[in-house]
Amino acid sequence: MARQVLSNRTRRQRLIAYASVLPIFLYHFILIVLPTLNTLTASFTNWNGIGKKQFTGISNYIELVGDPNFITAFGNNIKWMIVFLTLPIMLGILLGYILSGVKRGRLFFRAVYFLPYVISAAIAGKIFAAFYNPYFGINVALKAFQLDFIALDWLAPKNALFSVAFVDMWHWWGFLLVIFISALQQIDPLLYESARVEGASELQKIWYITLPSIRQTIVFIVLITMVWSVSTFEYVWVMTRGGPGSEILSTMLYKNAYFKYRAGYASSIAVVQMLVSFLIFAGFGALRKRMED
Amino acid sequence: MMSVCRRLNHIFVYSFLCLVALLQLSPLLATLFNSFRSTKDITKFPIGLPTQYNLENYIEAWRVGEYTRAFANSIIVSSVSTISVVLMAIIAGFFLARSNFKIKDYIITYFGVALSIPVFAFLVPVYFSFSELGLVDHLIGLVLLFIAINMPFNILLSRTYILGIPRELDESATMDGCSVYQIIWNIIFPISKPIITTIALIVFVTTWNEFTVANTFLQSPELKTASTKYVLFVGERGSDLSLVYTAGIVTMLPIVAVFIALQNYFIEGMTTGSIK
Repeated sequence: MARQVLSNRTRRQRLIAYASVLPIFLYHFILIVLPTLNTLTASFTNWNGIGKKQFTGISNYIELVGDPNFITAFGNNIKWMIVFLTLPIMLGILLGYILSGVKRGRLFFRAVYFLPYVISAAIAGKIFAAFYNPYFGINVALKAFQLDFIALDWLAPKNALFSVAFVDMWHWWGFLLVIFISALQQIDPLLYESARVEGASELQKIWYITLPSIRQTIVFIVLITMVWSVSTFEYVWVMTRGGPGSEILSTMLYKNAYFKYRAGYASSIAVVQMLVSFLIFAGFGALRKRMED
Repeated sequence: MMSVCRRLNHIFVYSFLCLVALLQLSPLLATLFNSFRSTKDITKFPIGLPTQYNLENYIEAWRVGEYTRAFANSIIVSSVSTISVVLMAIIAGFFLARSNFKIKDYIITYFGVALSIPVFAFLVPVYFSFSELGLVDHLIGLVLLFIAINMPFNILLSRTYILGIPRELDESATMDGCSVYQIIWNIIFPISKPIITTIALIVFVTTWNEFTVANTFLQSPELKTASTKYVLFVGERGSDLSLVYTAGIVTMLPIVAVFIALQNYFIEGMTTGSIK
């Protein structure tokens, strides 16, 4: 009898669990995953966004491979990735290491370095675009101080990508810093102590203790940096709209979808982004497995 | 000798930290100072100390940028998204932590995989579907998407937190005859205050700052959120430099103020969970 009551109750609770979780799951599935699947199918059509989709096989992909714009954009994403894999990570580790070693003011400096991370890309991008303006921006000040040689035309085609990346890095590295600080705090202080006793230099400590100890965090950051670099968008769009020299996959996709009425072609770019991201995830998965073995 | 060395080392380290801090803050300081200068001055020289100690630029920027409307839009969009995500995260988080139903593990994996779906994977089809449904250029449409985008991460975050709450607490309440939702409301909710604050901060700030989706789905100037409005504003009034800088400060001020007030919550909130 008691068991009967109990099982009725668990059955009822299971029902409540389903009734609560399924709508939330479906909500997400319909708004995010279903459209993602639609992107996959649309990439094989000549869809313009409004009308019917007409199946065109892999013609979008064939066109993509021969599109010089796509090649440039892809290359720019790779450049973006390389920049983000080096400077912000190195800065985050270096400053994280220094901050972990100081007692006073650690929280203050951490907050100051992190501050740009809470500012919208829309604002930061537009304000830096004003600074980069060749006539009213920082170049006026640089020239006044006889620094003409660094008063570059920041948003000109040959500099634009790096100028934009600089702003995103200004915003981004403080986030990495915080993650590295919490990883660095996990390191056993005894390790440093014994290194000090044996007379290791600061560089040796970093190389033999710090870096190996935070290896997992570094791998994780490298992974998200690579994946995010494939679909980065906001700063480039806000500052140059992917103009000459700074076209990337996402800006190309956006223009095709919303300005050229080529939603199908845009979808094929999205599929390439997903595919590359998937390959990066898979590569890291394989690497992790090999490291564990 | 040793202590001299150490002190020199100290001075060197702190000078370096201050230098980096100054470099990091300089764009914001220049913007703040320029909001108290005239366009004529800024055109002549791009950086400089404030010259006009009044709020003229601010009043002008607020009026020209129609910021009352833009802020109202942002507040509506961010608050509704935040409240919805918090509720869904606690409810889904609770059942995914506590209940035993068949598809539980699949759903946890599902949200884990969903974390890595980039915006551009679904943006174009969602846009054209919403367009057919009349949800484009509507605050509701944007809110619906913001909720969906922010769900996976925060559901998993709250589940992890609820897993850490001792089971005995809700089991004894079950014995007392409380229903599941009474348990969520009376026991889980109060204990989960720290994670609710974290989730609320994450969702509020990311939706307030969001550009790509907001700018795509809201087109009429009077519907724009504060940060997307700013881009429009600079596009139209870009030559009026004092207004560009002033409106920049106006747009970032609410978030920066909250950040300064709650920095530790903020920093830990926006970075925790991203490691796990």
